Amino acid sequence: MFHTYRVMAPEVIADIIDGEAVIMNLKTGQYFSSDGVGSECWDALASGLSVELLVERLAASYAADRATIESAVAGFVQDLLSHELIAPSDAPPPDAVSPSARSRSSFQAPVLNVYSDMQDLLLLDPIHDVDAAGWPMPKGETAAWPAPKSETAV
Amino acid sequence: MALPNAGEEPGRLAISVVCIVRNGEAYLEAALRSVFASTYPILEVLVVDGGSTDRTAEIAAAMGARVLPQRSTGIADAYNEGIAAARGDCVAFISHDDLWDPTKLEKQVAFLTRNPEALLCFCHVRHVLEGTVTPLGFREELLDRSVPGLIMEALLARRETFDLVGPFDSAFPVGNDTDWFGRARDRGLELAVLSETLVIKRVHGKNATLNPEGYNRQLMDVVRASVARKRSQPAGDGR
Repeated sequence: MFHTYRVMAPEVIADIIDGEAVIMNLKTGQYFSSDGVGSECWDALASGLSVELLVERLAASYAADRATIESAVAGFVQDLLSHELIAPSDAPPPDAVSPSARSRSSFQAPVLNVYSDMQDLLLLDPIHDVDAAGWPMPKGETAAWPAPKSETAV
Repeated sequence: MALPNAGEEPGRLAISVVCIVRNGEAYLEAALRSVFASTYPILEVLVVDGGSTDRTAEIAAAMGARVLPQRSTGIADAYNEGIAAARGDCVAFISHDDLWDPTKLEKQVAFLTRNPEALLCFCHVRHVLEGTVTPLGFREELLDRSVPGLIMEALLARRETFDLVGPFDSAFPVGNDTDWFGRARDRGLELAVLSETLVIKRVHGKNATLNPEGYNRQLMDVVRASVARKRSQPAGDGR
């Protein structure tokens, strides 16, 4: 039995930048970060890899016993679930990704950092987009208004 | 410039009002009228015009505002230009499609006067839908109720706040206010919000194509910058 998950889009958006997963829950206004193994776990789960294959992959990459990895991943998944960042998915998992060939490094249990300090700010932000010059784009207008005096791209 | 209610009394906080706008002819006059109806004297109204192709500058000048053609581009730098030009002890902001309660400044100035250590304060705002269709991407739960206005248009800030927190970051074309408030909070500033509803914000599809995906991507950048700030602080701060 494989356990796969899906990201709770569109309320949850995430990105991996410089090896760190940054996740935002627009429903709660909380945001999250996780680096190292945590970022690896997020990336794998978000792309539909099952927990079982993720554990297998980590066991091949890190010098830790399988039980340690299994329990760390289970805890991380629980954190993601409790913050409504992922939900169980029925989709079949993609083919197993072969473990990376690097030598086994020490295992640091994945940690989900939770930030609530901008909750009020993020929840109050009306949503809008801007044109190429950085001003809200009038409806029906493409960004073809006269070029500003300074041509700095925004 | 002689504003009907301009005045600089000794010991009284002088207020500059900054309105950044691009093509705001539809609502600008009503917005500025609500500013000039303020029960608290206003030192000056600065309209930073981001290259409008409509009657924005004309309307602003006719209403008695000082029009500053924007030299830079984008919302963040429009704010920065307006703040740099402001001569008041405090700066307040209004969007071209907002309406102020006449007592907005009076109540906010009273708060800052009562709390000399406070650098800034906000008020509650009410979002009112123009027409019948909520623009795509707008948070419907914000409509027709009074919500804490942690937005530029509800802010009154002493000018030293801007030196302390720094300029609005043009790297965030739309999330620059969220970023600035986050930076202010990380510097230990309290974002006090008055309980009164003193700003009405019109919500309309006329002036903004709402694209949640593009906007959210920019919020991610703001959030990432916040994570980076937290990491450079002692553990436990700001969490």
